[in-house]
Amino acid sequence: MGNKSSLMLQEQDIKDIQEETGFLPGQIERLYSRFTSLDKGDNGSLSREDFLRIPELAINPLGDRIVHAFFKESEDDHVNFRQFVRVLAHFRPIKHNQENNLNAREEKLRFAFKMYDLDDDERISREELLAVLHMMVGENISDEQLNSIAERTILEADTDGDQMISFEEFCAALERSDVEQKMSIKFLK
Amino acid sequence: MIIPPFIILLVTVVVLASLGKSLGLRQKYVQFLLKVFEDNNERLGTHEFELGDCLDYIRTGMEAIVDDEVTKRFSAEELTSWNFLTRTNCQYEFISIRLTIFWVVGFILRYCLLLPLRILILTIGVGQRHGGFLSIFQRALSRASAHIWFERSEAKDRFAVARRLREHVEDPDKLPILIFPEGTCINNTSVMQFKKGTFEVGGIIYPVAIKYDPRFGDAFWNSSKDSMVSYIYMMMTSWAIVCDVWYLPPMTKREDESSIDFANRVKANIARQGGLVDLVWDGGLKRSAPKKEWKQQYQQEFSRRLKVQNVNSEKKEEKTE
Repeated sequence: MGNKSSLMLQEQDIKDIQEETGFLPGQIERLYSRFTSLDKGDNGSLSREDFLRIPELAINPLGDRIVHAFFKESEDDHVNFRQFVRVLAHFRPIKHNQENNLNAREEKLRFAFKMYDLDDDERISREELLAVLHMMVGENISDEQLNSIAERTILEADTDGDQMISFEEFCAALERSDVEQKMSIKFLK
Repeated sequence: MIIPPFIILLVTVVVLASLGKSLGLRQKYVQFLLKVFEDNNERLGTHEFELGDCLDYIRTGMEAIVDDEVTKRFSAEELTSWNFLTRTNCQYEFISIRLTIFWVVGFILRYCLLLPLRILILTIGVGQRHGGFLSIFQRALSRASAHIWFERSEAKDRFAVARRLREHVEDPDKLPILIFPEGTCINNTSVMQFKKGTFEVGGIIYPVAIKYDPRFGDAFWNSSKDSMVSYIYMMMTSWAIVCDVWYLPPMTKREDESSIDFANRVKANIARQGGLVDLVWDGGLKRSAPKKEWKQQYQQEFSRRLKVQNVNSEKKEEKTE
């Protein structure tokens, strides 16, 4: 009982999170409830195992990458609630005039870009692209064919000729796709 | 101009046929048609890989993190309105004097009246059966003889188990078998995958739908969190355990049905009657990771829709097989 009280969400925390992410207080409380239910060890933070315990995430071909996105900012391989909500905030649907700096189209694109860019050098190399392709197709397509797909993709997107895809080139390549809708999820209040 | 070659062809075919041979023209025609259909269908369904192909996977992954159908089945159901038990209100905050008073009165009622009463009933009930604890033991043993006992080596042999079960079921003098086919405790908001073993044995299945009303006391035992003693303690200090039981009409496996389909049919009936969510997920996911085959299925689907090119040619040729 005593341990739990230190984990409870204070009013001030809710206000701060609302300010930072744009989530409503009801949504924040719901997310907090979800956070604590995933936190099996009751230590106020989530480990990678806590995430991968969700079966639907464990069978997602990009599951590991998605989990990794939460741990980019953490120092001790654990995610606290602030970090948890901050990442989820990228997926808040965009409403007119309610854009804040976390769920804008550019931020959503940057999140997708980071899925590919593992070493964080602001460029997607051919190896990085191949790694993601491999995760998505498994053993069903041969390495040579994957190579040719990767090369073709880079050729089409690479406008400055450095054989890698920068963030600007990435955004240009996804200009016509409905990023706002594909990278938004419904958060219940 | 066409007629002479055509007549020659016709004559050839007739002659060959009378000799019992054929040019195989019909087969070749059919094969050709099939190939044309396949090639075009594949082309219709495939697309070139784009950088944006990962977006859908990212979104479904995030949706699963925010809420999923499985993990919430293994902990007590969340109530929409508080039932004055602190155990169902994880984030107890002082809200109002009135609620606190209700809770205090409830607390006194449950711990000082209901709990002693129930312990009293338990002890009296035990004592009344002649002889007390010893006879409890004897009665338990006699009930146990109707159990189906398996040697450890037998238990590993699925066929041996199925044979023993079938023998028992077919014997009209033996008691019916009570089965809980999910194989683990679930929180009664859903029914999860039924293990197909029992549905292979044959015989008649009498489905029973059970639904507890969690507002009066949650009967779910979260064995990874609570010991049996604390579970019993919680049961005894709840308001009440309220349970609806429906005995559904008997069902048998149809001729053309597999045991998995039969199991799913029974599960659907029970879920419908009890107002529970019918899930395909395995209750074993409470303790173990999902099988790799599920992920591989997604990978296969994605690969199938991807247009792949032949690497070993100068000019880019579409894959023709």
